[in-house]
Amino acid sequence: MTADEPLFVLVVEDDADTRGNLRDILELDGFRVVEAGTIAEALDRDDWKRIAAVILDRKLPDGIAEDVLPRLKQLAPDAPVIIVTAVRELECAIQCLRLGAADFLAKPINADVLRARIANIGERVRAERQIHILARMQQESPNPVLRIDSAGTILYANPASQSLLDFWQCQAGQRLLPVHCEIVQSVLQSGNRRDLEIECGNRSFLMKFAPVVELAYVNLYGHDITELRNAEKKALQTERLAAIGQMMAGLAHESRNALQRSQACLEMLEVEVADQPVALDLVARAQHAQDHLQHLYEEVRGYAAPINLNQQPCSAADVWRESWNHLASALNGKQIRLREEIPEGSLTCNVDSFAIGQVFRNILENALAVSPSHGKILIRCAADELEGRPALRIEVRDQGPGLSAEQKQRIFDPFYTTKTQGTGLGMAIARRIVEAHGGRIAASDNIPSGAEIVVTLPRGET
Amino acid sequence: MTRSLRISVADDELDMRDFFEKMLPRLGHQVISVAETGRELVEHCRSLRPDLVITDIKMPDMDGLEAAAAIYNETPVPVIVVSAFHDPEFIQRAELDHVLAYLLKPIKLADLEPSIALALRRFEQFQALHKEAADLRQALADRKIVEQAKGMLMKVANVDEKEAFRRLQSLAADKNQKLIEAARMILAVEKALQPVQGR
Repeated sequence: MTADEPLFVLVVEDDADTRGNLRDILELDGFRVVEAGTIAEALDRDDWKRIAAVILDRKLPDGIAEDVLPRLKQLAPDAPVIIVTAVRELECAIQCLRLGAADFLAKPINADVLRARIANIGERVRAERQIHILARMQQESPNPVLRIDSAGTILYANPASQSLLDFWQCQAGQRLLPVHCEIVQSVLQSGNRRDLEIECGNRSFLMKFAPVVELAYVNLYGHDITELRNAEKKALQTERLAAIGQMMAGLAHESRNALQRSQACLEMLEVEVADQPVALDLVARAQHAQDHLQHLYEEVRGYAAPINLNQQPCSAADVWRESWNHLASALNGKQIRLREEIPEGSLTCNVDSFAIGQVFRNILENALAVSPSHGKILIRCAADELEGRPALRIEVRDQGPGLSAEQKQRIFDPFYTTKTQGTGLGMAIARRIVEAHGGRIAASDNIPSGAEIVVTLPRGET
Repeated sequence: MTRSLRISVADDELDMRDFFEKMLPRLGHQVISVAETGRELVEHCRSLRPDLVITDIKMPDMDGLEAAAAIYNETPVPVIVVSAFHDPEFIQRAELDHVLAYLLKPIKLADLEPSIALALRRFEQFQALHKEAADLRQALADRKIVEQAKGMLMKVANVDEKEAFRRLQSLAADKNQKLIEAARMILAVEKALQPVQGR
């Protein structure tokens, strides 16, 4: 149905001449006419939906208008009925109006009067249809649309409002939350619309309160801005991280001079107090702290600095073995063996061996730190796929206490550490390097004991 | 341990100047001058001719790399740079300016010791290679002149190469000169005797 569809008028009149007259007048005005000579004929139809108006002769061969009016109003509740009646039957016409007739015309029918009455009806029907269509738009809108009266009662809520209503724990016919009722009243008073952002569970909505002052209600249009807000948050966070990164890199850089002065003075002091054991011990402790600080700065700088990869085909096993060999000092007297489970065939990957070496170093360092005094670290390697391309999956498992759910989630976050001595950047740096290679790094779930870190590296052009 | 070196240092920070002055002697070296700026360093090197220069990069009026280049232009001397900065630009300039070590602050005395030894060793090798190359170039140039003189004698005296060389040798012996000097003399005479051309 559109507002411009032709309007059908049902003419119920037993006199063929009068029917013909009415048809001529109505069709001139752009209406379509369907005719019936009796009440039975009038009622025997299934096109009530398209009937915009009924012109009903009061007296028909099989009954009078008063008899059929209730039934007509039932079948076509929106179609106004105009009773055509003789002047002397005006009393009856009033009865007809009570029964739901919209108007009456006295015989003989004056063409201009009919036109005026019927044009009026046409306009109204068109307007009603328009409203109907508009109402359907709200009905079908993916965004919440509500109508609220001045007391804050929800007069209408479209289906898309359901999640909001659920969240507010109310429904159509009930009142909005007090805070929203206040806004309804204030926009009705001012006549100006107002926007309000609300959080509804894990979704964000922008609610527009649009007052219809003359009718004393407020239309409430909701717009789901969750994705927008998420994107904004992410952009903001990225920007913040970038700014922090830049600042940290700058700080680490600028600190070199200060660290150098402190280092120079410490070493001179050590010479000055060479004969005082207590002072020497203090110098050594200060030196220790200074070394730690410097290490921290270097890690931050390494994390914040841009990664420039120099990728060359090399054996993954060579890379992790070299890393392992570098970690002799991290053993701290522990007796840990490195056990490997390697498949037949090539372990060649196109990687920056220095950078990936650092990844293994950081993973193995953590593994060593949590290992018992005697034990092993297991490296298992297998061919895998990453986004449809050949990859190498390398699992590093330790015999430590394992990772909690929180640790698994946060282990790759910068500055997250469970060690007292760590900078909390080791795994974050590892992730940055692996991701720069187009690879993945994750902590495994469902490990019977210990922790397992899985690195998946695309093999690349090898 | 390396031999004792006479070292000129430069850094705009007092702590570092003190550090070098106090600590380098503990490695058996002698700090002969301490500068605060690049220009001062160049002046010190000009008058004192150190065995080694240790300098900061960022200093007022002239930076360490500029100073190193200026010093190297006058007298080749090994330079160790100690800087808080390692921008690609600095590193590139350091490569050009015969800097033999580039240490990133903060450094410890223990870091300096091997760097000094290595820098000095590399510098000596570098200088030796330089000298060898210069000697070879000279030998080649001399040889060319001797050959020309020989050819001259063969033509003028109508003798074979062996005889020409013998005459050249005896000429040098008579005059108590080197072979190359005798050869030059012959070529000079030949030039003087040539008819004037193209006037």
